[in-house]
Amino acid sequence: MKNFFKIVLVNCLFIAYAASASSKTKDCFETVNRAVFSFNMGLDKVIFRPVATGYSYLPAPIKEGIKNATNNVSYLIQIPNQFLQGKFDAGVKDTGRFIINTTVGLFGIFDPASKIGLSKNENEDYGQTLGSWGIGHGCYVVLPVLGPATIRDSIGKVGNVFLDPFYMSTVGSKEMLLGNNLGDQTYWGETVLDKTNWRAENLQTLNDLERNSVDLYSSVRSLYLQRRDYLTNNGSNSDDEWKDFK
Amino acid sequence: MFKTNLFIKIIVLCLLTSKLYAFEKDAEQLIQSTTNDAKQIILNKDIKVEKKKEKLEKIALNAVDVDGLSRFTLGAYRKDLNEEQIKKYTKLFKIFFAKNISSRLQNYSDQNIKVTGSKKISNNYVIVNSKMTSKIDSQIIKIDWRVFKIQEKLVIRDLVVEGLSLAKTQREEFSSILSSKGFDGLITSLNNFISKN
Repeated sequence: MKNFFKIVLVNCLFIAYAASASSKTKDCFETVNRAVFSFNMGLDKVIFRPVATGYSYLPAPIKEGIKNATNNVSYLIQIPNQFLQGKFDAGVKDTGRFIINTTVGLFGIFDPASKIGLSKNENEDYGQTLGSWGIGHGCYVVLPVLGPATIRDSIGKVGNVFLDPFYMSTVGSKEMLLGNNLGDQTYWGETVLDKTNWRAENLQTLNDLERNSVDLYSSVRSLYLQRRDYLTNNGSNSDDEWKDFK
Repeated sequence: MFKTNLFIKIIVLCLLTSKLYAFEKDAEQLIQSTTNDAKQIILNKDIKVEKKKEKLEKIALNAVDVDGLSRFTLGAYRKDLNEEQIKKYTKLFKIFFAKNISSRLQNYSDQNIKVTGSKKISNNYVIVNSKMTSKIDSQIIKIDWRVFKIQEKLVIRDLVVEGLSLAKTQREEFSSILSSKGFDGLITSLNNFISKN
């Protein structure tokens, strides 16, 4: 079984690497993707949006604390990826941020690091690291529940879970830290809070997008791919099609 | 004599430099004044929603090169269309754009946009950088504006929010409809949007 996963992983990387030669990301499974997208939108309408709407009524300091704490946990993915991308300066700074906020900031609920000048860096994950190593997106895919991704980012998402020290010390390793049940509850609780917070922060943006799109699926695909390229290129857009536009 | 020559050279240099930077400064001014005007309308509680939409549409149509944007959003499909189809599309796109932009803008009330700088790309193209700050959560969003000089008039052709180009997104949305439903499908989609808004 382990060998099977290795073969799948190597194949996916090879496809994604081969795709890096072409700049435009193909939607190879559009029919299936559109069906999954509709399913996800249904799920959002019935579960995620109502929960996020309820969450948005929480007092601002509570939401701020939750956001800080979940962001702090994400540094366990962010910091290794900064080093893997050769961003040593950012990696060292964020390690400092993580240590200060976890201790003085009470598990990251407060953000004293920002107050002493250690400001937050852009998020990094394993998908971005693969991109920075020259691996292309591969095909665009829509994953059930998880939403838009590409082959490269799907592999990255696997890394974001299984190489995450927070996952390893809670769900991954029952004997460590919190024990069996508490470990699971902590990991999944944090994940749910993180996603709910993100959805609540984007309630208006996503409503606007839905209302103002003539083909929502294509809009989301375009926005996702542009955003990932922007993050992988460290906040710059390399291609400016307006330069040669007549 | 030497001093007079040097003085003249300095004056000429200053004049040339100020002319070189005038384009960027004018572009920055366009963005700041357009966003300020839009904000005043959005915040004015004495204006009814429909009137607000109308005023915002007017500002957008005045500041944006809608013809250029309509050509851009057709992408590669433009060369497959005849004159009459392009004319029909351009006319419809103008209404679609105005409705779309006013609908997006009217929900923004607590944000401040401040121009932070600009970069000249060519003799008729400048990217103006700005930052939008939300009063509620102090979130800062980076917005870049692509400003062009077309027939001596400065116009906006695109805005890029944290790396997301609105023009590109629109083009890819239309491209998807064009490839699956053809030109008539796109016209139907635009008409449906206009009738709903």
